[in-house]
Amino acid sequence: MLKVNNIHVSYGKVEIIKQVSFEVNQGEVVVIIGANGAGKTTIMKTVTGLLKPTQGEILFEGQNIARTPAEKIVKLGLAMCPEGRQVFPQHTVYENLVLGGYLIRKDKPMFQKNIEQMYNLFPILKERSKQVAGTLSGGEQQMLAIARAMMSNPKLLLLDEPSAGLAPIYVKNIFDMIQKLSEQGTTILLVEQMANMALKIADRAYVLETGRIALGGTAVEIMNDPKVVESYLGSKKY
Amino acid sequence: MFQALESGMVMGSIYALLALAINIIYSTTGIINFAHGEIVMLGAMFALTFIVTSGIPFLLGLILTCITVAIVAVILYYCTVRPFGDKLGNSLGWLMATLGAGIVFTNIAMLVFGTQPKAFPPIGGSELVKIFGIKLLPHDIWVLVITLLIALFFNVVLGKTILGNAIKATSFSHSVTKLMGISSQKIVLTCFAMSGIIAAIAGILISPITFVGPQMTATIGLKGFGAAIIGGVGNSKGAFAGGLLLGILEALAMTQVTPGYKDAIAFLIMIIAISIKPEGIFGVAYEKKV
Ligand SMILES: Nc1ncnc2c1ncn2[C@@H]1O[C@H](COP(=O)(O)OP(=O)(O)OP(=O)(O)O)[C@@H](O)[C@H]1O
Ligand SMILES: [Mg+2]
Repeated sequence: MLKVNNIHVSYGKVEIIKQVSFEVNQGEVVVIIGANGAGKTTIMKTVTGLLKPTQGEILFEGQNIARTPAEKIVKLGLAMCPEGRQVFPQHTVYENLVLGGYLIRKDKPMFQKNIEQMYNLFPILKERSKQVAGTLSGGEQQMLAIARAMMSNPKLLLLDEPSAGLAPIYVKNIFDMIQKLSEQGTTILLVEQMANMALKIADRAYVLETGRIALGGTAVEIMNDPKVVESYLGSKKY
Repeated sequence: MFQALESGMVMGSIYALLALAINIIYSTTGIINFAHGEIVMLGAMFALTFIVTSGIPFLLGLILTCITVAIVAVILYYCTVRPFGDKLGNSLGWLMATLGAGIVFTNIAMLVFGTQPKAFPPIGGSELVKIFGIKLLPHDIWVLVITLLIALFFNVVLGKTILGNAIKATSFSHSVTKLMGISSQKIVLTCFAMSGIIAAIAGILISPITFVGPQMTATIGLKGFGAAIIGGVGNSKGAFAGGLLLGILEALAMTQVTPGYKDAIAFLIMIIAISIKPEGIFGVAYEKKV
């Protein structure tokens, strides 16, 4: 479904991503793990079109989207829940969902169906629908960010560190939700530092080290790789 | 006293219209369009050409002026704002560029229209009408009514429509807005065009008061920024209130001092207002969540 071939990405003259290739197949949950500053967010921004690679191609369902503007890529069925949640703080919960469903706004029944679906998945959002998003708790904002991304019916959902800064109980919750979305048919590309949890729900995984893919394989292989155990799974944070 | 209040409200409405347009652009791009006063002047020039010189009927002339000035505002975007990219906060290039554009507009106006101020007929004729015992020029009533309508219209557009939602989203973040499938550039262009339309209307409304000339908005433009700041930059209700407040205070002060100090008084009011409430009367100092 998504095939990234040898991309390089730079900020100004500094090359951050070097010759990165990976793929995500229909129905999979794929996770990219890596330390702070490895370049995970940079890859996600490049796939969604917010950054442009200096070299390489990004094929989404066979179409090269490396030069497509971000707002057109969403239309193809690729949505992202960005790092740090980034809900619209001055909009209400409902208005955030309306913006997430901007592309399907003309299809009223579909829009209504999606809203209902998100309220079912995250009942707290229904309760808080008139509340301004900036006043939600971190965990609630994360749910809203995921729901907002799901409003456009993406075939592929990108999640950039959905567990960052959340209490353990929320982390568990979020990962359960991600698994649920996957079971309902959304293909998922996940970036995480919570390697433990992420690998548990993933089919395949890649390890990113300073802008290069150091390792790739099935989630089980990666989980049992001695180097991964040492650097990413060794010290359990809680 | 009543006369002062009335003329204060009229000028205040004009400041409010300028502040409103400045705010629309500020909220989606984070820049202050320092050429806005000159765009209003161009609006007056085009209106003069269409309505007075060419004798096109008023309403048609108004529409033509709105379209032309909206196009000028869009061109201004491509020349002074677009080259500096989305992250305008990182450079001050737009500042010099918009200031420069203002000077260019003034000079073009001088070349094409000459420096001699020209008269523009007031809307509704020059016969005074009596309302509640106060004699008013119909034009003044039009200024107040049209300003109020535009302010209400914007309140509805920004607060109740999907376009308003998208504009608010763009003010928060261009990239997150793009992730929703919304072209933030189109939103910004729409805002520039809207600011141009408001500028055209403001230009037509002040023309009978100031006469039409290349320098007609030199100080009015500055007061428009002042009104926007008094009201809280980026806040359309604040722009409206700030404009009216500035106009009324300025007019009331004029009853006490000689007219030569008019502008000095206005700027004094602006300075006092800004030092008392730097975030503006309607502005809120946002705290960022980490
Ligand atoms: N806008 C930018 N300009 C310059 N350098 C940047 C920019 N954004 C990121 N970088 C650099 O690129 C590198 C990779 O950043 P990136 O955000 O992709 O890391 P990450 O893997 O997502 O890290 P984290 O786990 O902390 O989110 C870092 O060294 C960072 O300093
Ligand atoms: Mg990151």
